[in-house]
Amino acid sequence: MNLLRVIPVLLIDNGSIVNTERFRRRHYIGDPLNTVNLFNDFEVDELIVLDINASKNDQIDYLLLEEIAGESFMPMSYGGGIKSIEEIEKILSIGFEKVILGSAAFLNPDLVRNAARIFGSQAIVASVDVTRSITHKYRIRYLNGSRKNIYAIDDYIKLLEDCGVGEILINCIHRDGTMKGYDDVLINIVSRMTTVPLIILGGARSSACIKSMHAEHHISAAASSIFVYKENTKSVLINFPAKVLG
Amino acid sequence: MTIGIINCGVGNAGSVYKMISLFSDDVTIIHCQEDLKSLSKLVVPGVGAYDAAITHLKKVDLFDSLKIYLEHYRVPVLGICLGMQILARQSSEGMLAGLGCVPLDFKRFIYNPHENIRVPHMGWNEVDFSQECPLFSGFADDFGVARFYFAHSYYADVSEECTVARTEYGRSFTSAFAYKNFYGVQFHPEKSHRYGKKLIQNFVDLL
Repeated sequence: MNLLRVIPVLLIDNGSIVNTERFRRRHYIGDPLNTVNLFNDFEVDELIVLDINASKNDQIDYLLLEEIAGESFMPMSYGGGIKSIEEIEKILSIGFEKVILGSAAFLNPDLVRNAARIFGSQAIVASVDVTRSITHKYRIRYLNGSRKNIYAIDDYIKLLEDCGVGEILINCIHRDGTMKGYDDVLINIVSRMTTVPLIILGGARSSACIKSMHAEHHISAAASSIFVYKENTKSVLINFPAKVLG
Repeated sequence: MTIGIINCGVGNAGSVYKMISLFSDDVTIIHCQEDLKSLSKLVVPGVGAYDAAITHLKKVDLFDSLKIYLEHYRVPVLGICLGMQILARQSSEGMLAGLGCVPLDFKRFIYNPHENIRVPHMGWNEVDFSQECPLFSGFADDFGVARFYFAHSYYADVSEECTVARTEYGRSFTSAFAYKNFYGVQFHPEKSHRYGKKLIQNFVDLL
């Protein structure tokens, strides 16, 4: 019984797939549909699609989401700019299994509560953006890392779980796009605080890195850079090594 | 004769529609009681919360009419995830009773950090299937092991009467049942790549 998933993450910026570094610099990767098709062919465990502009633009690109969902026979989650039950309903009806609530979960926890009640916990994921200070203290942020979330991590996670969230995605800002490895200390802290399935995103450097994270922490791994770049380079190559699953 | 997919109001019948359409040209989505006619098979999909789905079915007058339709026409029925719960008797997820077509009850998984059991049960897991069940026909030859995607917090214990596949998650539970003309799968075949396609094809090919 191995439920440890390996999940490619596609970051969408105005209709294109991009890669970021520490939530900043954006590097163009390619066309979303081609990319999704490739991952479909690779039969990846699951796919996460995050629109990093949707919150700022206050607009969800439903047309693009419909095209993406049309190609897939694998589980998919969407996050970016979701603020209401109606939006969640629309996204789920398009064909995504789960929605990822980021800023909205912090600004309006009742949305999480109501969504879990209507759609079931298993359809509601909360993403928690974490950064690390110079003094190695972990802090949570929201709105693409631009604002401070006033909660301490354990309080925020408890709030999310009390609201019925089904899954938590920890988005590690300080490791994002660096391919320096996952933040083991952070994973250790958060995995002890959570009872729902947990996914760590940010820092994966290789298949071996993912496998050892699985073995040590027993939580699922998400990654963007290693699946869109050729190993150890910044040349674009959509890939999903079979040995990641092995 | 048409394969009908029930729209439970929450989640999407669309993904199931997409996969079934790979194997049949005659598929339709059932929105209301009037749509319930001349069906060769029925699918009850489900992504959503139990009470919300049942409430919706009652609101569009599909709950009782579905029960009556199924009593009259013994067509093959496939319940998927929440759909499987709806076909059963009751679930501790909600206050409302299911359609009662299958003698199963559902209860919640319990968080257990010592065995890495987090709730919901989320991810790919192995399904230990009975080779006699037509839903899994050809699986042993084509794949050896069957793996499907699960996303649920509630489960039915293994039952002598109707369990045809079991899966381990801290305990053994029913990942698929077969009872009279009713089939149910706890996992999501419409999201399980090649495994899902094979199972759906087997269902479509049922006589």
